Amino acid sequence: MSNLLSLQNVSYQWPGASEPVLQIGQLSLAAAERVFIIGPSGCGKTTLLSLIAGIAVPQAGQVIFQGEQVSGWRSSQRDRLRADQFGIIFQVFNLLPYLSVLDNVLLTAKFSASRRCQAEQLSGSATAEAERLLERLGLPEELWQRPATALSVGQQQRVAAARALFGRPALLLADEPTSALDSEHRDRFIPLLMEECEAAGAALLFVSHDVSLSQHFSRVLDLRELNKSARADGVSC
Amino acid sequence: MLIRLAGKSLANRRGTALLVVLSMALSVALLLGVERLRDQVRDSFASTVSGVDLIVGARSGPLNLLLYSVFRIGEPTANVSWKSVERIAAQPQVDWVVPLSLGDSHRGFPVLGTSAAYFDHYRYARQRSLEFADGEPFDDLFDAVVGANVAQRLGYQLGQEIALSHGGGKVSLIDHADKPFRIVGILAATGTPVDNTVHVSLQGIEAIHADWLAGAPLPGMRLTAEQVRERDLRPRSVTALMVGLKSRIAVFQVQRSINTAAEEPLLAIIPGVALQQLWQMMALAENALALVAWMVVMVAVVVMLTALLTALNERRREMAILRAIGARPWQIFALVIGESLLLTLLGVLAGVLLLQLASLLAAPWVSARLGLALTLWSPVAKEFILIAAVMLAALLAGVWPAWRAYRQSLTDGLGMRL
Repeated sequence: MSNLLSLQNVSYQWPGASEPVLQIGQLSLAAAERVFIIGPSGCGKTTLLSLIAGIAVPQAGQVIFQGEQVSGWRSSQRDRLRADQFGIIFQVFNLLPYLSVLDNVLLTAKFSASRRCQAEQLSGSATAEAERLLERLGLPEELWQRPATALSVGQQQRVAAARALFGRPALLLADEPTSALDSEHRDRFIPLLMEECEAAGAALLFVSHDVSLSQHFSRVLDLRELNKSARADGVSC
Repeated sequence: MLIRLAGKSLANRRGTALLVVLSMALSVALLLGVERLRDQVRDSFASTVSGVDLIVGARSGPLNLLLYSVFRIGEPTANVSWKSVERIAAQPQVDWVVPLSLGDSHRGFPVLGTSAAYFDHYRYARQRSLEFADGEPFDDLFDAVVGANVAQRLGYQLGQEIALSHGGGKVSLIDHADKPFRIVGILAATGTPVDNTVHVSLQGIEAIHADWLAGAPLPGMRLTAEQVRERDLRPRSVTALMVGLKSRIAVFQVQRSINTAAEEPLLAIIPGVALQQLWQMMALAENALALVAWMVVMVAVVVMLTALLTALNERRREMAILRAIGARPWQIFALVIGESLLLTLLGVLAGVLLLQLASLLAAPWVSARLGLALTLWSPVAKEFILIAAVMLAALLAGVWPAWRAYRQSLTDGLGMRL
């Protein structure tokens, strides 16, 4: 089975730091696979996601995406890859406050022509696809033209999911997307996200410190075991 | 698309943006306003006297002659004898001469003795002739015509009687109170020294000095206004004279013949040339004004920089979101630069509108008080160059915050510093 993404002997250290924050021997993800990575804060979760998203480049090792060694690419190529293939959801404040809900979702289309194309093929127009996703994620039509800040945190996270899923990315990166939600909203959000990932054919890499969420996933990894750097130091993170 | 994003982001911070636009607008209005005023004042100055081919006075410097004959500043070194006036008037190329006699004043305003032809031949601001707001030229010996400013400042009306004073000061020790003049005409504003002048006939000047000798009243000899009318009031000398030629081609020839006349040491100047020389001396003040206007523009640019740099920290979040969606660092750079351009563009537009509005409102007043006709929109290349220079300055200034945003977007990455 060919991997969508794999990290091999990857090591990263911040400029000026004496030792790497992240050292991963092997991590791979199949297409459309959904993986939960558990890791308390301070274990290099965000660094891991930055490396996968191509915003940071490892000092050693390789990041391979769809068979290409993308860690060797130029930064502009990595930016394009991120725009075309990745959807990213942060913990909070995913939306631009001065744009409407709909325009926030359509932002993806503005930075990626291929995702706009995908959306047009799916729903006829980019706007129609954005509206379809918002609808599917349970955001009623009367909210679409409202400014993003007028929404509750739970609604904002769902808008962020709609934006990440827009135009069928190959991989969704979610960095603690539910930590700002209460348990009820959390339990509704995760199945919804999984469902939409399945419908879009996207793989999902979900990173959180909350072990209880792992029940939703077939494959669970522990960053403390993956990250040899932290373990070598004997730091329990 | 980036510019739309920049616009919406700005609209989200409209309070600060509005202040930045306002400061930019005020500075642009000042810059263009100073420039326009500068041109118009220069134009109007250069044509303080036009239609006059030569000004003749006693031999001194050209600027000195110009200053006392046209601007009533300073003193003549000597007079021009009436014989010389007659000789110049008799030259075949000369069309007309208008004698000027200075030295008296009325409550600080200079008194000019001249002939009625003065009102026909004097031209200012590109061949505009003097107009009467009220009344008509002097006719009688004790008639006076006052300039617009004199009438306005002293509240004079037709028919009022005024007393002239000897000498030029505001406080004169000796009055010609025994021979009052009656105001028969009030001139319209011209924006030239004419506005500040009291005009009387040459004979009037002679009349008030008929019982004087060597600059003081003769003791024991007082002539009443009625008695003085009986006297021979032909002037013996005048301060200067304006000369009009039949053909301007002869101007250098006539100038040379006057300057080299053996009978009396005289100086003839071409007013346009002398005015240009005088303006050049004042260019320093003019340039200082423009410099101040540019400094105000710089202040506005600094205000904009402050606003952009302050906002940058609040906007790290925004930049990180855009980066995650796939915005390239140069697009973050362009976003901030676009913002500064947008602010400047709005500022320039508002500034031009502001200036138009101000000129529109001020035009009647300026025209009445200064005799300057404010042109509304003169789309001269110079103004576009100025606007382009302002835009360029703002663009260059915008590079700084844009570069910082660019650096930030690279180091922050997906790490969202909250």
